[in-house]
Amino acid sequence: MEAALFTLDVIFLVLLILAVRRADRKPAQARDLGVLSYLNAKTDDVQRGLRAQKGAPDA
Amino acid sequence: MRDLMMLGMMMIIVPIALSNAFAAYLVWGWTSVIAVPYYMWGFMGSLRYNLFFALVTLLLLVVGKSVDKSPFRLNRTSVLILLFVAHVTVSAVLADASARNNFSIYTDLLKSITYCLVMFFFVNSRLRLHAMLIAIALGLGFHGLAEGLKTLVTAGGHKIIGLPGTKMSDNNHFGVALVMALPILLYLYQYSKVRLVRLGFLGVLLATVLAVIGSRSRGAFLAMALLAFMLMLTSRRKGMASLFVMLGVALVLVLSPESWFQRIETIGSADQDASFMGRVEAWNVATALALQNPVFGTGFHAMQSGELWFGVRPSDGLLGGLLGSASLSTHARAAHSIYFEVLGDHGFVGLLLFLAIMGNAFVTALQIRRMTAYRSDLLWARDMSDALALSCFAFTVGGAGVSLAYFETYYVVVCLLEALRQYVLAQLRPASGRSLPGVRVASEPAGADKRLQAP
Repeated sequence: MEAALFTLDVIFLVLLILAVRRADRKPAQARDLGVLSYLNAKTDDVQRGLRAQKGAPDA
Repeated sequence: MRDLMMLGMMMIIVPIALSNAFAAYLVWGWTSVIAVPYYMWGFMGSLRYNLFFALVTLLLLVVGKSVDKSPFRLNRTSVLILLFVAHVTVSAVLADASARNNFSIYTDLLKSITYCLVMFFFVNSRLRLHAMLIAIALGLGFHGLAEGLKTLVTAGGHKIIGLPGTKMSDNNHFGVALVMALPILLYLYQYSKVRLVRLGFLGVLLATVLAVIGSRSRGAFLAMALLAFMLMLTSRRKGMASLFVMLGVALVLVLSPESWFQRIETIGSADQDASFMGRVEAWNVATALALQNPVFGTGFHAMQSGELWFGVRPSDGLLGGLLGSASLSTHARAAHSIYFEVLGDHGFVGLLLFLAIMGNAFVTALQIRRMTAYRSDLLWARDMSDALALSCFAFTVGGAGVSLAYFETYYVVVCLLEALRQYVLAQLRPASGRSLPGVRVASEPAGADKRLQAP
């Protein structure tokens, strides 16, 4: 089990650094971390309100 | 098999690291907390991953092969850390001759601080801040997941001993380090975009709670309990935070073995507990040594040598009165507290600088809270700052009972808070066309001037 988890951990590290390298090659506005990317908006009231407005920049 | 897997992965990781300084920096950080050799059985276990990726990062930084590098500017945090390093350098040079591990601990600390200061070159965007948190989660969270699952499948029978050869080589150290990872895992659960990844971080979080229980460390358990309390106090979503805490309590009650409850119950009768009184004795020796060497102390872990330990009497220290009739130790011990560890090692001045770094971290977090209070687009920064501050809080509480003052992740978290503050400051500069705190601009939605805090 430990070996499988360790392998999974290393795979995620590879995904992270691949995403970082790919992001650095993109323009600043288009950068993300792929599957490990962050939410632009969170699902609380404020963020929901922001997302509800079409075209509004969400947090 | 693991070695072959690692060899294969390194054939992917090394070229990426050689082509991107920040990628190399992330792997450098990961290798410092994951303790790769501990999980390898064969030829891949003897390699110095940490040194290799540190050299790659620094080389790429020096030759200018890094994208979006910021110029290094001194800030409050880096100044305090550099002052602390300068002080401990003198302390290490003037250390008592019996301090056998003085220079090895000193050089370890220098490596950790180098890692932290290099952060200010790289971590200058939300993407990079998020990537740093993931790297910490992949390092510390992995230990939490592996040990937590072992605790679960053995119904609490698995005995966690820590990671030999690392700063987490003791169950107490290991437990406190895991508690520090909890708020970061919670943040990543809240803010990861892909649902499966989000649930993955939640799973690691719950397993890490189990691992803390499995460590049977009373200090780590207390730190986790206080962390839960602070989470409820600071969270914007107190209902959700309370739900998490109740889930954690349920996990503790359902999955903890009887022996664990017996051990935790001894917290209430600490004055009759030999283990606790041994700590008081160690703290007393640390104060006695600090009184003898108030400015520079006795050097890194010098009190663990019998010559210094038995060279002081109980009445020489500030806590001698608490020892009462407790039987004294027959051998020299560790300080068993980050505060007394620094006090004995580097004197009162060293402790003052250490506390200044700690206090500065919380002030930085409060400043980020204030700066982002009216900015809905920086709500994530406030949540990240809260997570990092809670991680520091876990260290300050859990560290009161363990000798973990030079634990790298703590300094990394402190510097991440500063990097986050610098980022928020850059976003708030009027030249960028955005508003200062409290000033509403036309592009902001109605109601955005409302203070974004829970009532």
